[in-house]
Amino acid sequence: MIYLDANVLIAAAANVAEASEQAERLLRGKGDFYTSRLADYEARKYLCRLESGEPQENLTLLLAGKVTLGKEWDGAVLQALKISRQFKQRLWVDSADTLHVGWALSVGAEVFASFDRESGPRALALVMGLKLWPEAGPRDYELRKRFKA
Amino acid sequence: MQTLERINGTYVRHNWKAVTAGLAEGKGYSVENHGKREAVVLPPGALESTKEGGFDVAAHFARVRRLPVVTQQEVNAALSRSPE
Repeated sequence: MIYLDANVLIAAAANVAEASEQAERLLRGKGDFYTSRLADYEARKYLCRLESGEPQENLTLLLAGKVTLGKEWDGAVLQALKISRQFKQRLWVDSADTLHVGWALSVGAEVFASFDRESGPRALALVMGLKLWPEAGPRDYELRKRFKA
Repeated sequence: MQTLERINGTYVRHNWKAVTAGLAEGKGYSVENHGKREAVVLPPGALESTKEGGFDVAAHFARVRRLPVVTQQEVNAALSRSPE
């Protein structure tokens, strides 16, 4: 199963330079695509800012036809707390990012799909044993070290 | 289901029988108020049936490509995530 972060949902609903092409390649491929109510909320919060309502409609169609939308928060919160206990003060990513990774783990996802290479969700996913899409690069490995310092 | 019919809230209030009949025929509706979407109503079983196949990824992204381009930086900034 492939967990889609909010920025991937946005790239699949609005025309985001370069990212939308990558999202299309991902969604054309095989796999079960899954996202959370949290990612849906974050994506819609951004899409509301755009002039056209079409991206929001695109997201609704995507969730109706291609991507499973998970609404069970409890497992995600429990996993996020487990992550917090594991890393204690070394958990340098924010609450939403921890919840995204916790959500992915709670539903047994193998792959964490995100374009966010800066705020840490990809590095956290990597350190928790998830595969990354797009594939992990030097920046992800560099940030991963911060969980071990 | 690939399309949503755009209708306004007043239409729903006064034509709920037509909307109910449309849903039974598999139509989906985007309920709008002065052009702003307030709700999406999907026909029963839409979530299950469309995931079984038939979602046209190419057609979906063809629509996406016609939209104005935004940058990943704008998206990241708007999501406002930051290390604690």
